[in-house]
Amino acid sequence: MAPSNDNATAPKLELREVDKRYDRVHAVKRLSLRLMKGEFVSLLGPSGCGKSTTLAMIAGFEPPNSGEIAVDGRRIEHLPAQRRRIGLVFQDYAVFSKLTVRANLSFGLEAKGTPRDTRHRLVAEMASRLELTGTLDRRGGRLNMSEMQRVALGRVLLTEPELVLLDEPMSNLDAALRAGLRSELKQIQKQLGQTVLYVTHDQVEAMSMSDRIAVMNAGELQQYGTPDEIYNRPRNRFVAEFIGDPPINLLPCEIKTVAGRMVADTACHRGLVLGRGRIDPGRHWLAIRPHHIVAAPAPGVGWAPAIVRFVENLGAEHVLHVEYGDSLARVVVAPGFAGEGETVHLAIDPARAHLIDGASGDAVPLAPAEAAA
Amino acid sequence: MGGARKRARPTADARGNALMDQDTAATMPTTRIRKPLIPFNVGLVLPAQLTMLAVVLAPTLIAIYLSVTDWQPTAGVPWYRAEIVWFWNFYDLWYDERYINALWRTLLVVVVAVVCELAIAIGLALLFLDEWPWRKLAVSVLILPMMIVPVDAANAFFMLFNDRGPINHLIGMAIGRSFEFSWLSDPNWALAPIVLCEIWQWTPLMFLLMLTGFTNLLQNQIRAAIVLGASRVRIFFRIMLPLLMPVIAVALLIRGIETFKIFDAVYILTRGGPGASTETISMFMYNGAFVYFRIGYIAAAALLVLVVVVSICLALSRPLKRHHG
Repeated sequence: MAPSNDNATAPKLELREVDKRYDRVHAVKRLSLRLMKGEFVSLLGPSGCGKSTTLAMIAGFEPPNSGEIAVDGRRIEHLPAQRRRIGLVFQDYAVFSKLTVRANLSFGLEAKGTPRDTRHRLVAEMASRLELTGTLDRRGGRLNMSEMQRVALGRVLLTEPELVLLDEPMSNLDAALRAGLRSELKQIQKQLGQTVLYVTHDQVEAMSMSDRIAVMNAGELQQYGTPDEIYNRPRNRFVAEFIGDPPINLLPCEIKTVAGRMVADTACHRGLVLGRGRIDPGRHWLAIRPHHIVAAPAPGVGWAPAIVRFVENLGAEHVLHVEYGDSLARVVVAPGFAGEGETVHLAIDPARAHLIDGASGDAVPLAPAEAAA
Repeated sequence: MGGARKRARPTADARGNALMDQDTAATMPTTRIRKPLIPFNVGLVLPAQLTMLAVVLAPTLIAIYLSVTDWQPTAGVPWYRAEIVWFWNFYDLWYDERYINALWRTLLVVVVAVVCELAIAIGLALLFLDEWPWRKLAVSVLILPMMIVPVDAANAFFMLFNDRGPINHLIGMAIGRSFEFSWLSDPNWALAPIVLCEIWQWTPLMFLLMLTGFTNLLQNQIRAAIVLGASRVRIFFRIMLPLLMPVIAVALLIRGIETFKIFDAVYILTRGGPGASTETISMFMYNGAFVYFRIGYIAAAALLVLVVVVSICLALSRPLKRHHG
């Protein structure tokens, strides 16, 4: 917990080309990742993308087939889990059900051989910080979810780990509880300046808590960046589709180059000027978030009419599923804007759209086109 | 309101019934499906229940009756005409040192055997938690003793502990000179082969129970303890053992009751001798009933044992119930 005087430039945790293969599955493919001190990083991806395997390798339960894992520049792959000084909070919290909260909290300290008095003081401090003082003498098996999360976190923090790994700690909680625990967790992490690697498949958790997000799919790192970068500049089709709720629209488009600028024609919109970039002309994808398609009741120049197929009510806003060529596109509007079967008029802001290469699935970097316009 | 309803109902019912009778008379077929004599589910259970009554309840009642008589089959009086002596049998038992000693000896055997079985079984189960080649085969081999007929196992131990048997031979080899010791005819040592035989035969059962218990433990709690830096010993005593407590309690209960009834090994190895130095409670009863033919007296002894065993079981099962409640 206490800030150490380590070289500030060395990353707290560094994975270099870490590779893990099971009999038939290539679980993690040459993963490289760096966490700086005090950073909250999320490892985000669908089930089976290799994120839990990555966590198990860092914690020391699975040996990597190749690659290096270093904490503060020191390699730890050869160390047993007991000696890695890495805290791990499990999906089910794994609070020791037969021990009291007090014994749970002091477990790591006892194992380290911390003297009794120091132990008592530290446990009391942590308990009051996590508001567990009232439950100290209760058995681990008799706690509610919020208390269990705090006990699991507290007992890990008390051992002053180099970093804390959290393995989908909220996946078996209901939505109302999650929001509360999320802010609780983020506050504690900020207070202590603790480096955290948080594994989740829930983009809301990743977006709301992280300093940086590492998106994984099929054992490969797809993109590593701040939540803004991930959301606004997805590097490929997978990231674009995985992040964002409601999900991004992928519209098939035809790309032409006109006077050095790329121009896209979709099923309903023609001549969308995207900017400068390099791509083979032909069929590609135009990715645009439902929030960035503008809908109006009456037509204007460049607006395309579309029929509303059905309306998803999210309370604060409605998502219109409108006919767009052969498929449906999602458009976010204010509640009560249009009903099923009505015709709305759509405009796309080309500056907010991403061009995705139809062949490779990678996003094509675009330079602004205002100079030519 | 209630009164009004009560008054109204009979008339309605009467009318309804009258209508029903007319209807059924006209439409119901003449042959009805006959209601079975006993319901199907009762019929299923009844044979087993009757058997239980015959082999458990009836003998128990007869035993209770016999325990207040001094019936001996050699006296030439049928058991139902035996002389009633009321509670003199119990009075005599209270001062029967051989009986009291047999009880204490049985308790000693139970405690030593079951504790050893448990300790060995936990040790073995821990070894078998990790995956290693031939593990499944090794488990099958380890549980073999359990499959052997107890009398055969006892005979094997009889031969092992013979004066010129392999055990003495091995000890002789170890100390470098010929070693002869009559294990089974030494009053101080004769109980050891009996207890060893019991442990050898029933540790496998304990081992299976413990192995199942350990493999079903919450793995994440153990992993959590590992990452917190705890040693294996600390994890075992602080995390695994408390989690395993319910399984251990059940195992102790099962094996405790079973061992209390120990008979085969005693009968084959020593018949309770030399003297009465290895007489356990069931051996005492066997000798009393079928060697000395004091049926009434032994019935009283058996009843007392029943009371003791049932109360111990009840006392032990209470914490278990609390655990599940």
